[in-house]
Amino acid sequence: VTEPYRLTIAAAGRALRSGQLTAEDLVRCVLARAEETEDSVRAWVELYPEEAIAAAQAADRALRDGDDSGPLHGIPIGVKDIVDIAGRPTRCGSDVRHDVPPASADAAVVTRLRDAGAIILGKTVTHEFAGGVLSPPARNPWDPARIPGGSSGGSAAAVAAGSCLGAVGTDTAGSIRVPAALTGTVGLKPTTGLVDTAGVFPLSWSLDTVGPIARTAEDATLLLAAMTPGARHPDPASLAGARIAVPVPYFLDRLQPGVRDAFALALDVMRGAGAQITETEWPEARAAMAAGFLIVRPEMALVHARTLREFPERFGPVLRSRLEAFSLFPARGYLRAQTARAAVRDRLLRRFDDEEFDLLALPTVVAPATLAEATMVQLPDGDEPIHAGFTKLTMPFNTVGLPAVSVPCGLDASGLPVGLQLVARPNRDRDLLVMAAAFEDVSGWAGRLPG
Amino acid sequence: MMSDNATHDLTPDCLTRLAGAVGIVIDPERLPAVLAVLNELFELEREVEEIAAALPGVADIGTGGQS
Repeated sequence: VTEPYRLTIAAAGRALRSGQLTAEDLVRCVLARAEETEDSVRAWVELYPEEAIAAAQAADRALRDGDDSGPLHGIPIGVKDIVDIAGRPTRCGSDVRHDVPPASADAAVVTRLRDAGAIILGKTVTHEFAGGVLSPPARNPWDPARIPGGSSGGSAAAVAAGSCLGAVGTDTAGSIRVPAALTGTVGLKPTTGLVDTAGVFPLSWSLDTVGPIARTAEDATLLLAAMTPGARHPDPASLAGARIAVPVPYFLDRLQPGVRDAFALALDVMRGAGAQITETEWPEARAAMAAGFLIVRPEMALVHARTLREFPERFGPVLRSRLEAFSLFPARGYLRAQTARAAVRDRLLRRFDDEEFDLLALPTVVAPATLAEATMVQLPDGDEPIHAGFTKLTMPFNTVGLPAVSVPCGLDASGLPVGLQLVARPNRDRDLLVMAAAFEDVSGWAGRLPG
Repeated sequence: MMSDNATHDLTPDCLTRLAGAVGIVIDPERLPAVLAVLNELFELEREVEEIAAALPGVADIGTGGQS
């Protein structure tokens, strides 16, 4: 018998409705799993066991009475600690906010998830103010000596460890897709603006997105449907006849061998399933990456401007120096980036149309998870700082606002997960997830838990 | 005070005064770190400028229409 924490959201939903499982048993099981794994994974800032069990009991009663909220009914979910939960402090992983009062209301995305029947299990670890990829103190369930990625590292680690079935993350430069890739989970950065960011502490209001992390693309689809109004469930599809382009140059230039090999295998798998694989040139990709950071950093400085003026000692020295520099950067660079953003987006969308491809395919991250104490990622032709290296393949799609999903596509020689990134036209998020599910069907990598 | 896209003309005193103008106090020992981050930002701006300057809608920005 499968232990309930190992179930996907879809499978748990079937078990709940058939009477094989109760929401209370499911919640108690993931809480027990958290107790078992937290010493090494440290994915959670706090758990709400009493509230979660009470909510599960209510969900069971409702289901017995024929009141079914839908696919997330009774499903335990984690929420990144930059997203407001009513009555709980949103500390954003920072000592700066150690004494912040509890949030007065749920963030819009939490309200929608509760309305869809989800049970909010607790808050997951974020990199400080969602501004990095390390997410301390969280660790990777595949190897607790390594980072889970970030900034939604706690959400991804919790999903991979089995201490929840799905989670809410945010993605401004790759913060959903990077940890998804590093923990063997599925993470969607939705089309910018698709999911309401009200009640989410901002990193960069121009580029912030909220989205799901789950074990399969089907589960991510169920979470996204709850997060967005007017969601429709697209029909399943196959990769046969899909037109998939690999963007060059830039994206494949500097990859660790394990990523390069897993990506090549993923292309072979898709080709074998009948997809047409081509290359497309996006010479502005590097500019898209650079423009993204030129937008995020001054916006981050403005978010923290008052604290930086009035209580600068609350920041650690590294973050404080960075915010000071971001504050002093001339507006010219920010405006140049905002202008370039529209132009590079237009160029990429024109390629989708002119070359008639459905998706882009590329690796999510240049390397698997690094050791927690590492500051550089080793690449074939030289080391690179981890943050810059780990977001270089994801940030361009934040800049242009397209939906992008990371799905597992293999393990490297050390047994660490590697992610495949698929990118679609704006507002084709659900179709993108359908194609990600089709890849899962033929690749066989989805839904694996470490160990 | 500052040459185009470069911080090498930005003296510590100048940076401190500029920060003061926006209400920020930069400790002298952190000035090199702040300058290093500023240089990273100028480098990113150069990358955007070089690649995106040829794009429609961007080409004339920064040239006053003289491109």
